[in-house]
Amino acid sequence: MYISLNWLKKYVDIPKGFLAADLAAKLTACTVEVEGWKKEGELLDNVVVGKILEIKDHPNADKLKLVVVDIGKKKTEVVCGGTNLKKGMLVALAKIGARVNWHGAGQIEELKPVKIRGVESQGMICLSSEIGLQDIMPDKSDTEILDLSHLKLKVGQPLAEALHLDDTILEIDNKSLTHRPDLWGHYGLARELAAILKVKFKNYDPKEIKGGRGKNLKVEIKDKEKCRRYIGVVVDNVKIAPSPDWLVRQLESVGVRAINNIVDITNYVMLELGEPMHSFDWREIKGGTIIIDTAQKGEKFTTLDGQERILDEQMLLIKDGKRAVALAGVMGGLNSEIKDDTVTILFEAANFEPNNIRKTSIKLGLRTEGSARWEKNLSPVIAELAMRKAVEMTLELSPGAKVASKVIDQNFYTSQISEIELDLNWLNKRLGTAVAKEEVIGILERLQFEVKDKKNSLIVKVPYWRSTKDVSIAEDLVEEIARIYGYDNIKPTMPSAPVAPPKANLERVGNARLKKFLP
Amino acid sequence: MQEDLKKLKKIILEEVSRVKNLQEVQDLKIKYLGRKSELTNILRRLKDLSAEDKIKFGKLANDFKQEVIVALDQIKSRLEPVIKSGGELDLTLPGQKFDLGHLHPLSQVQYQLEDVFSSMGFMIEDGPELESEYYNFEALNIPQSHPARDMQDTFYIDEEKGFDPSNRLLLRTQTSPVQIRAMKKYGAPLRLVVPGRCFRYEAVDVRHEATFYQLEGLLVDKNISLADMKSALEIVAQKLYGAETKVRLRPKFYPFVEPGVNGEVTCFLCHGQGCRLCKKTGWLEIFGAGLVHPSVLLAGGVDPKEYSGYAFGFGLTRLVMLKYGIDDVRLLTSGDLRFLNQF
Repeated sequence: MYISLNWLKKYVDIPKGFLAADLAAKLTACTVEVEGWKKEGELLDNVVVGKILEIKDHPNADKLKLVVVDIGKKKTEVVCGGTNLKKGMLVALAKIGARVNWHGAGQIEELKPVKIRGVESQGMICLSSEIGLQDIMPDKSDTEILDLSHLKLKVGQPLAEALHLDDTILEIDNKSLTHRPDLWGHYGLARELAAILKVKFKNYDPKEIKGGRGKNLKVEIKDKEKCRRYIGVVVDNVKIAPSPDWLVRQLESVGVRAINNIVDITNYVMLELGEPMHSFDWREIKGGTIIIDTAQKGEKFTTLDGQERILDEQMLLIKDGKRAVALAGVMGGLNSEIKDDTVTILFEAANFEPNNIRKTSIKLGLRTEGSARWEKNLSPVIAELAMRKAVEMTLELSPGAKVASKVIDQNFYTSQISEIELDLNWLNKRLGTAVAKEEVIGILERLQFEVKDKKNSLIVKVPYWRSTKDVSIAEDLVEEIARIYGYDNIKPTMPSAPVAPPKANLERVGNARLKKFLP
Repeated sequence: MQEDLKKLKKIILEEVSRVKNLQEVQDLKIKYLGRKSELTNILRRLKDLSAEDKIKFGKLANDFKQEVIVALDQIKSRLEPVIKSGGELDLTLPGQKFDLGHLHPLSQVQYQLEDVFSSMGFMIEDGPELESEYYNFEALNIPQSHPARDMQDTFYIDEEKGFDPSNRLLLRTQTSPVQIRAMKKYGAPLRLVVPGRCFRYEAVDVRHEATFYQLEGLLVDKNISLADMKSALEIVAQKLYGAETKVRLRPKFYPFVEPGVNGEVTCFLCHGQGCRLCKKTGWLEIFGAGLVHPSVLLAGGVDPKEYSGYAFGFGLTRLVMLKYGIDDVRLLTSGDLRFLNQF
C-alpha cells in the first residue's frame, strides 16, 4: 500500500527535519513494515518552467536548433535537438546545476555549461524521462521534448512546485497489516504516527449530514450476519466532472487513477479512512429500494469491469427493487455505475462480514481494493464517518449539489467493545521491564484507549477501530506497550529457572549418529 | 654393396650389444634406421641396380634391417620392466578415493542449532509430519476463517469415508503443532526445540518450495518475559554468527503468540554495515517469535495464569540459504550432486 506523506500531514504534525528514512524506521520498529519510499520530483532541482521565445538554426548542425527560452526574469539560450519545438511552447528547462537522467538512460548527471558543435548551451530542454516524470507524462518519442503548454504554468516557476511534486510516498508491506484493519487508510496511520512520535493529532470530524427531501430511499438488510450495517444517502443536482487538480494528484500519488469527481470522492474516502464506499446512479435503483441479500445459486451478474460472473448462494448482493446492482464489498455492477450524465447519486457506506467477502473474492478470482479491506474486519462505526466525509466533499466539489433523502442507517452491529483489566505488576513481568504506570497510561492514551487508574491495575477501554479483531485480552495490551515503549528498550535477561540437562531424544541421537556413520 | 652391408652389420650388432638403457636404444634406432642412416642410404641406392640385383640385394638389405629392428626391440623389452619397477611407479601415491556421502547442508545447520539448544537445556522433540487440522491450526489459535487454512495454501489429505470434516488430516504447514503435543505430553515447565519438515501448497519458484524446514522452540515456565526471550535468542544468534551479533525485534502478527515479533540479527556478512545480503539494512530477518498466546497454553493443558512462555521459529531453509549464499531454494532438494558436493 502506498502512503503519501503530505496526506498524513493533514492529520499529524510530523516534526520538521524528520526525514522519510526516520519515519520508515519508526513505523517499522513500532507498527508495520515500510518497504521503501520515494521522494517525488527527485530530479527537479534547478528545473523551471520555460517559454520558447525564438528558434534559430544551429550554424554547424542540421538537426540541432538554438532556442531562446524565457525563464522568468531572464532569458537563456540552449542548444536543442527536439523535433517538436514551437515558438510559445512551455517546456521543462534544466538550468546549469540540475541533475538529469540523460536521454532517460539511467545515468544521473549534473548539467554544466557546454559547447555543442561550437555553440554554448546554458542548460537543456528536457524529455519527460530525463527528469523522472515518465510515469505521469510519458514521452511521446525519444526526440520529442516535454510539452507543458496545456498546463498553463507560470514561466520561471520551479517545475516541482508548479506540478505539486513535493510529496514523499512510503510503501507499506500489506502482509504486515493483516491484523490491523484501522491502518488501511491515511487517517489511521496518522493516528498511529501521532502515538509513536508523541505529537498532535487532528481529530476527524466531517460535518453531520442534514437529511434532505425529494427522494425516498428504503434500505432492507436481509442477511444481517453478512451485512452488519448499511448507510445510504441520495445526493441530487450533482454535476459529474473531472476532479480538481489537488484530488487527481493526491489519488495518483498513491497509484489510484482518477475517474470523475464522484468515483474519486469514494476512492479518496477509502484511502483516507479505509472504508470502501460505493456510488450508484439513482436512476438505476428501481423503486428507490436497496435490499441486501445473498444471490441465487448460478445467478449471473455483470460487474463494473464488464465481466459476467456466476454467483453462488453464499455471495452477498446489493439489489434494488428488481435486480442486483452490486456485488457487495467486492465490485459494483455495470448496470448502475455513475455515468457522465448522472445527476442524482446514491452513496453507500456499509459494513460487511470479512470471511464471506474473502471467500467470494477467492471463488470469483476477483480481489479489489475494497475486498482487501473488508477481509480485515473493519469497524462498522467507520461507515458513518465515511458517509459524512463523502457527502461533505460532494457538496464542496459539485456546487449546487444537495442531500435529497434522509440518512438511512440500518445498523445491526452489536458493539464488542470491551474493558480489559491490566495488572501493572503482571504487565512488567511479561515484558521483563519496570515501565512506570504514567508511561503505560501515556502510551495507551496516545493510542486513544480510555484508561481508568485503579492503583495497581488499569481498566482499559479499547477504541472501536481496534476492537473488531486486534485487541481483546490483556496480552494484546502487553503488545501495545511493548511496541510503543520500544522492543529495543527491553534489556535481555536470563530466566531464573532451574537448569537440568535435557532428556535425550534417543531416536534422534541414533538417527544423527547413523547419518554420520553411514555416509 | 654386399661388403658395405656386412661391415655395417658388424658395427651395428656390436653397438647394439653394448646398449645399457632405453635412451641408447632410441639413439641407435635413429642412427641406423632413421631417414638419414647408412642403412637407409644403401636401400636408396637399390633403385640404380639391375632388376636381378635389386631382388638379391633388396632382400639382403631388408632382412638385415629386420634383424636390427628385432635386436633393438629385444634389448628394449629386456630393459623396460627393470626401469619401470625401479623408477616410474610411485608406490607412495594415495589409493583411489571412493565417493562418500556427507551431511546435507540442511542437516549440518540443523545439528549445529540442536547442539546450541541442547547446551541451553532444550530437549529435541519430534512430531508427525502428517498432522490433524486441530493441532496444526485450531489449537494454535488459528480460527477456521483464517486464510492460512484455505485449500490453496495447505495440502489436505483426501479421506474416503467417515472422516471428521472439521478435523481433516493435512501435511503440517509448520512445526508449531509439536508445541501442543509436547505440552500435553510433558506439562510445564518445559523447554524444547523441534526441527522438522513442513509443507505448503506453493507454486514452486526461486524463493518458494512446497517442502521446507523449520526449527521451532518453546519454553514454558513461571514468569517468563519478553526480556528472557530476547536473551535466549541473542545467545543463539551469537553462537551462530559471532559474539558481536545483536538481535532486534519488530512487531509482527502471528496468531499463536501475543505479543508477536519478527527477529532480525546483525548481518553476518557486513557486520551491520549494510550489504547486498541484508539489502543495505545491516539486519537479517531470521526468526519469528513471541510470548505464547494464552489460548495456546490452554490447548496444551497449561494454566496461563500460572505459567507463561515464549516460542520462536527459525526458517532452517532460510538460514542455510543465507549462510551459503544460495539464491535458489530448489537446489536444496534437487538431489544434484554438483550442488551437494560443495558442502
